[in-house]
Formats: sequence, structure tokens, C-alpha cells
Amino acid sequence: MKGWVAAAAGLLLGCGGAPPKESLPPQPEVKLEAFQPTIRGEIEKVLRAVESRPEDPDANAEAAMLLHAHQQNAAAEVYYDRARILEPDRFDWVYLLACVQLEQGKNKEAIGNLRAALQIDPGYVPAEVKLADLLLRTGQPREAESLYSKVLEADPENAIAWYGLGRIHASRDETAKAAEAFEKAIQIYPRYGQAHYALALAYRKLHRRQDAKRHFELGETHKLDMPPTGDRILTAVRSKTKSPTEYLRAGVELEKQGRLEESVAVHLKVLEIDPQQVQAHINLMSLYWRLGRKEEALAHYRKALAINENLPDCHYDYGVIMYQMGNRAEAKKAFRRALEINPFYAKAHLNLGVVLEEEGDIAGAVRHFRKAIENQPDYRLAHFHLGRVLADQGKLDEAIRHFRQTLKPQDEQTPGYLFALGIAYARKGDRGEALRCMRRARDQASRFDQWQLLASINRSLQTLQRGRP
Amino acid sequence: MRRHWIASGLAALLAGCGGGERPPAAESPVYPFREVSQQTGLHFDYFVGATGEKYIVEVMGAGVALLDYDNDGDLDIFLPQGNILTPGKTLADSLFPLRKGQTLGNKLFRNEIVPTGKLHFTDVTKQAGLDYEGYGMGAAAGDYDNDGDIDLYVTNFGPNILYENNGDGTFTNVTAKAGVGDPRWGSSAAFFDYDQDGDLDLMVTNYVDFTFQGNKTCYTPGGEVDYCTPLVYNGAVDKLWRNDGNGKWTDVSVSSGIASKFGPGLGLTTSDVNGDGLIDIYVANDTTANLLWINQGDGTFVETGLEAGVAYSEDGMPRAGMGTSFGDFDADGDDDLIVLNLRAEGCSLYVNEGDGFFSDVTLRFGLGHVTYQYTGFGVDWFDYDSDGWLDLFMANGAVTIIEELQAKGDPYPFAQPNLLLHNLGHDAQFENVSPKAGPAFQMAEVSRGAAFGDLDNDGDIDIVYQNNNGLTRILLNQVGNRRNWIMVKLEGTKSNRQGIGARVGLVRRGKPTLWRRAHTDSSYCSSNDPRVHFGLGSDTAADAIVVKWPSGLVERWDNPPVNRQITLKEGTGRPANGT
Repeated sequence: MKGWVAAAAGLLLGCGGAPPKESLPPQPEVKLEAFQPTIRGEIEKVLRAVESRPEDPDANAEAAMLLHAHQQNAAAEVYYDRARILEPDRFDWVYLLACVQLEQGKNKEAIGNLRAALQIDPGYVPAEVKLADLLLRTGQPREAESLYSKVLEADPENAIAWYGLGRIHASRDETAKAAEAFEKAIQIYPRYGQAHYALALAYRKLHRRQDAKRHFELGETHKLDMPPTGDRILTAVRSKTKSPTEYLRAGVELEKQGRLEESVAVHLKVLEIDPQQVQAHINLMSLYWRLGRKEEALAHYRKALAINENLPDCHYDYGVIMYQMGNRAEAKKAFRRALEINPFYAKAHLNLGVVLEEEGDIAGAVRHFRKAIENQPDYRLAHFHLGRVLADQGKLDEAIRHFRQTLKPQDEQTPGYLFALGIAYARKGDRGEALRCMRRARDQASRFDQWQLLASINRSLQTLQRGRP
Repeated sequence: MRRHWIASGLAALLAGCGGGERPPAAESPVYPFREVSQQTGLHFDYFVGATGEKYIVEVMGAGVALLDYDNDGDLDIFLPQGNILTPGKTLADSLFPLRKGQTLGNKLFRNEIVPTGKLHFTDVTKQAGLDYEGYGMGAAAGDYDNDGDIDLYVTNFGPNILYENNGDGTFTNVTAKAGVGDPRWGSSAAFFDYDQDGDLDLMVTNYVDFTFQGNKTCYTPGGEVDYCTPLVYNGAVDKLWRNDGNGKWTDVSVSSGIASKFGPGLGLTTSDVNGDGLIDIYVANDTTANLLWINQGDGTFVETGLEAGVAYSEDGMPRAGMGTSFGDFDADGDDDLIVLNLRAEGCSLYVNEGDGFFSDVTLRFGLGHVTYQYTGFGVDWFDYDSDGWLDLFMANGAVTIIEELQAKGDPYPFAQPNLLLHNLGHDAQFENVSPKAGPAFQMAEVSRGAAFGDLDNDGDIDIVYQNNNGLTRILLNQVGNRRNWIMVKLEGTKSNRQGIGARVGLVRRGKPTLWRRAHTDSSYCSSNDPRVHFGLGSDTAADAIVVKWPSGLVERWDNPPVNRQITLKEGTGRPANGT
């Protein structure tokens, strides 16, 4: 009897062929009440599409991607999973499921899905690199190493994989090998900040202190720069964002790159989504001013203050604009207002000091220069202005102390500061120090092609040298 | 051979006298930690004062200070309290109205275990004169005037306060006279003797230049208003005050170089990282490079974080540094470093290479994966199971909305569980033992500062942590004294009275000496037990204890008794220079 039952069960099992289909997880609850209306509308639309076509993988994936783009990761995970179950052979859904799990710190699940994705499409390099990175992070360096090596076999110019390989060598104290891998990464992508930092640490261990120093500096310079991952799938998801914060970030990035018109366009897009985004107004004020569009700049100043009157940055920027327009009274009022809101605002203290000095209120100027320094002790410009005013008052020792604070870091500002220091020494009667400072100022001004400054330095040097007994 | 033991009879009585090996913790069904705040009378509920504006201040407080304010031989607890933030608003406007038993104002709880033998806390705030209602962040405890009683410095969002202990159970606010009431937003503070003149100096990390009026509005990617990152404000300059004696202090922030670099400072820990006998300083900054200040011995410091390898994580990126602590977790004689960071960053574990250079070994020791999901604040190295290896406790809680919690309707969606990580010693790994560490580790709360010390004088280290918008918790160690231990209390004579900054070594037969630093700093906005705890593991005895005092004196005491608290007075040991 028992044997018969077992045989029947075997028969039944054998009949199935394909494994039973996974059941779809229920649609998760997404709390949208507090969302910005444009974003809420978009998300509600895709969620409605899933409700009407619950077994459509594309509808589920679309919902997942939009949620993912707005960092609703737990909900996005469920929709990706539904898409994966409905369309198991589609690489994108498995891969994106892994990505969203990774963002939630679900490393084990992410590893599983990255492996599954790579079985569907073994050639998608960003997935291989992501898996290797994750394996390294979770303490599986051997497998990570073989994956990086595999990537490099197919594409020896993959800087990210060289960097990863270097990290593995570094974690094993194979410092020379690590340095080689980091060097390779930098050769391929010279502005690779992370690789510079890692190489600096490796050189430090190899007692190559000077090389280490150079790469620490390069790491600082290129800190946020890294090679493109080539991850078209994840990029497509990110581009679905309607988040004003993301647009704002992009706008600021464009501004940093000097692409002012494009930055304006992105900032206007922010305001289309959310007219209350006060930071967009503040940024637009400064952008329009830089573009010479004064009226538009002032209009955004007014709009920003209409939303929130207590914006120190807004008052400060307005103060700068007013100062540049020659309206000292309005500038002073704006800097004062910024300081009422934030009494620790070093830049506002400095600029108020400058205005007060121009108005002849030297004591007031000194007070605010000192306040600027108190709140930002490394503020070179504040040290310079305070030193200058103190020198004019004949307080040369204190002035020199402040000018000395302006000498680091060494950059294109340094020659001017050195020159000021030299003059202070000359006025104090310390001809030797004055000459030393001015000669250094001359050499550095020449290095930075600062010809006008160079001419002034040379004139002062000649005067000083003529004074030689 | 001279011996100068001042064994604490009381501690011996409380701890029992077992000298032999005890059964290892693993054999016992008892959880390592038991949460006892309510049953010991410690009811404190941190009030965040939220009224809907999402001021960044609301999610940052607060810490805990452990100090024996009444000098009776047990640790009392000081807790800074929050307040209503928005000018013009009242308690009635709070999104989280005062709960039962929740009151405004900082609190001091006296530990009654001495003389009653029962761990119980009594609110003595009013009689102590500490009933200040500001917006409290943290505290540092230390005997800055070397008069034998412990003074207190309280950091606030707003001017900080220095309280001098009058020695009669009361304190006097001496801030104005001392001139140490920095108006910036203070976070962690530390008493330590950087100039080796025998009195404690004071360092304070400041966070950002946030003001109510200048509050900025930040959003989640969904456009919902959320707490801001510190990046939208400017970092505030840190402060170092030199103790000139006679209650006078000099602000040496600029002349020492400390003010020359700064960021949004949250964590602070001190140690002699390069073995030159001078105390160095590490500052954990939130989202910008962390700072390692190397003491030059002439009153100045040089910042070497980048070159030393502790400014950033292994990938060269700044992290959101919060709590931090130095400790010799690999038992090689120099202090290593832990820094807790933001969710999706993981903590940073740096091993000291012995020369003041560090390597990031977070991944190698298995900590990156374990801590990745948590925003960590309170942390310290402590040997909870007395096996001779320093373990870690991490107090966690997010600072921006956790989507899953919000979806469940949580009105304050920042809670995360805390972590207990067991150092596996020679296996060079940390094991996450939180799942078996006790019910307290299954709770998710918004934890912030944590302080570490032996509250019940039983020879092991307990934990007190503050929850933001929640109750303060006490985790009583249930297992640490199952193995042998020694608790060392220092008494400086030429050095500062508490011996803060001393390096204390346990000389073991056939094994490397264990080194610990006497400190009250570290963690987040908190102040710890200054006594030094040694777990002896399987050993039943130790050869000696060596103390390298901040004064430079090195002394040795042979054959210390185990399972006792011993007091070592500077100048009473055998000279041991060259140890």
C-alpha cells in the first residue's frame, strides 16, 4: 500500500515538467500623501496601470522604476520582483531587483539576483563589477578577484575593475601589487579620485612618501570624479526622477561646470515641479546676476523672500549684488539681515566689514572682520582685510600675524598675499623679511602669469633695494 | 617587592571573591545584557521639541554622562534634555506632547548601590543645582580643578555650561567666570591634559551654524519635507581651552591650530596614537573629512587625518562621522579607531600601524556588511565578556525618514536596532551577537549617545544609552564577571587627579600585555567611567599592572589581585621606565 502511494507521488511529481510558477507578492502599500503633487501624480498613474494589468511585467517594472527613481526602495523591490516572476528571462528586471536590494543593504539577496542576472546575460559588465564589489564588501575577495579578472580579460581598459583588483590586493597586504593595479586604473582614467587616494595609501605603506603626498592631493582634487560605469539600465531608471532635489543637484553641478544657461533651464524645471523650492529661487538669483540679467535676478530674490523671509544666503547674495551695483546702503542692510538670522555667518561678517570700512567706520569694520575669523578661522580673505586695516592703523605686528594666515594653501591668491605681507614688513622696518616675501611673491606671480601684480611687486622691490645702505 | 594596593573593600564585597575560573558565558542561557532602566528607577524620556519645521537639531540629541558626583564610589547618571525649539511656540504645539513622567530640564540621577547594595537611581537634579532647561546635547565629566570631585561640562544647542562640583552634592555654574560658554551648537566634549601640566583641558566639537531663523527646508526624493543633511549649513569651528588653574581658562583654539580646520563635528576621542607620550585628538565630522590632530608637544597640533588614513573611508570618500573611539582591539599595544557613520555607508574600522598611520580594515574584519544598514551614534570599545578582547556596542538610529517605517505609519520613522559585536580575537573578525544578546537588542529605537561603565560595581561594563524621542535605557551586563577581571581606578598626584590619558597595561604571563587608556571621552556626546576594566579571559592571575601616567612617570604593580577594583596612586608603584 505504502509503496503504491510513493510511486503515485513520484508519478505526479514527474508529470509537472517545469517547476511550479512563483506566486506574485501582493502590491505593497505606498504612502504618497506627503509627496510633492507632480511626483504623486506620476506614481499614482503607474500604480493604477498595475492595478488594471497586474500580470503585465512591463506595467510592474514601470512602477518599480519610478518608485526606485524616487528612492521608494522597499516598494520598488516588490514591483521588480513581480516583474521578474512574470518575465523570468528578462535581464533588466532581475538586475534592477538586485540594484534596489543593494541600496537597502540586502546584500545576500542582491548577490543572488546579480548571479541570476548574469546567467541571463553574462556580458553585462556593470553587473559583473557590481557583483565583484559586493562580494568584496561581504568578505568574499577570492570570488571578487576572479570576477574583476574576468572583466579585465574582456576589457583591459576597465578602470573600475583595476581599482577593485587593487582593493583586493590591498586588503591582503599585497601592497606592491595593489599599487600596480591602482596605477593602471589611473592610467586609464587620470581623474579617478578614489584610485588616487588608494594609490596614496599604498605608496605610504611602501615608504614612497612624496608619491603618496602627490596622490593624496590628486585624490582631494578629483574626489568626486570617477569613470563612467556604462550602466545604461540604471541610468535610465535614475533619469525617471521627477524629484526637485535631484534637478536642483543637477542644476548646481551645471553651474559648477560654468554651463550657466543650462543650469538656469534646470532650475526653472525645479520651479515648474515645485514653485515653493526656495533654493531654486536663490540659485536663480545668482545665476541671472552672473548672466547679466539683473531684473530677473531681483525678481527671484523677491520670490524667495516671499516664500521665506529668513534666508541668510538669500540676503547675503542680494547684499553682494547691491554692493556690486554700488548700492552700499542696501548691501549693508542685507548683510545685517543675514547676520540677524545667522550670527555665525562668516562671509556676511566680512562683507559687512568691507562696506563699513568704505563708509569710514573702521572700528565697525575691524569688529566684523574679527567676527568672520572667529567663525571661520581659516578664512584667508578675512585675515587679509583685517591685516590690511590693522596695517593702516600702524598695528603692524598684528597685521603681519594675520597676513601670515593667508599664505596657505599655496595657489593663485598667494602672490598677492605675500606681497601684502612684504609691504607690512617693509613698513615695520624689517627690510630682510620684506625682501624675502616680495621675492617669493614675484616668483609666484610670475608662475601664475599675474603680470600686473608682478609689475607692482617689481616696483616695490626696486624701491626696497635702492634703500640698501 | 613593594606593593601598594588599595583594594576597594566595597567593590570586593559586591563582586564576590571568586578567584578561580568561572564558566564561560557561552554555556549560560543568560543573555549578556538585561535592560533595567524602569526597575532601577531611571525614567528619562528625551524631548525633541518638534513642531513640524524639521529643525536639524531635533534628530541629533543626546548623550549620557556617567560620573560619581557624590564621591561615594558608584556611577551616577547625568542626562541632557531637549526643549521646545521654535521661538514663540509652547509645549502644546509639540508634535510629540510630553508623555507620562516626561519633564523638561536636564537630569541627574544618584546611584544608590552604595551604600544600599541595590542598583537604584534617584532624581537629585534640583538639590544638585543642575535643573537647567536649555536644549541639551551632551556632557563631559572630569575633575578639572583636581579637588577630588567630578565637575561637569554640558554642551547645548546654545551656550554650553561648566558646572563646578562643590563637593557637597551641589554644583555651581561657573561658565561666565571660566569663559567656556561657547554659543555655537556643541556636540561632544572631552576633558584631557594635552599640555601635560597636571590639569584637565577641555575640547569641544561644534556641529553646524544652524539657527532657527536660518532653517532650511530639505526634501526626500519624493518631495516630502525631511531633515536636512549638515551639508546645507556651514560646519562650526571646534574649541580647545587650556586650563590655567585657579578656575581660569584660555581659548587656545587658534593658537594651537585646532581652529584651522573644521567641519560639522560630532565625535571626539583622544589617545597617544604615535607613541610619543602626548595625547592626540580625533574629531569625527559629519559628511566632511575627519581630523586627526597630532600633538606637537609645544601647545600646537598638526592635522594629519588624510596622510594618516583616517580622514576618509577606504574608498577615499568622506563619511557622516558620528560616534568614535580609540581602543586597542587587536591587542598589539597601540590604539585603533572606530567611527560610526550613516546608513548605507557602514562604520569605519582603522587599525593603527604603530606609527600613527592607520589602515582601513572595515571589510577585512567583517564590519562593513554588518553595519551597512545602520546610522550609528554611540560607540565604545569594551570587553563585555571579559575574554581579554575589546568588543563593540553601537547605538543606532536614522536621521532621515526610513521609508518602510513610514509606510507602516510610524510618526517618527527613524528607529533601528542596536548592535553588539563580539571580537573573535585571533580570528580577526567581529561576530554580530546582537540576536542573542538580549531582548533589548530586538527593539528598534532612535538611539544616540551611549556611555559605558560599571554601574553596579560587579566588575563588568554596563551601558546607558539615550534614545531620541524616547526612553533612556540601561543595559546591565550579566556575563562579564563570569570570567576573571580587574578594575583599575587611577589616582594621579603629579598627573591630573583621575589619571585621564594614562595608558594602563595588564602584564600577562606568556601573552602580550593588554593596554587600555584611562578615558572619559569617546562615543557620541557622552562621558564614560574613567576606571579601566581588564577581562582576564581564561587566566586566573596577572603578573603586573603598568601605568604610563600623563606626567611621564611609568610605574609597575606586581601580582595584582583579581576580581577586585584596585586603586593605583601615582608615585606608589615601582618605577618601570622602558616598559
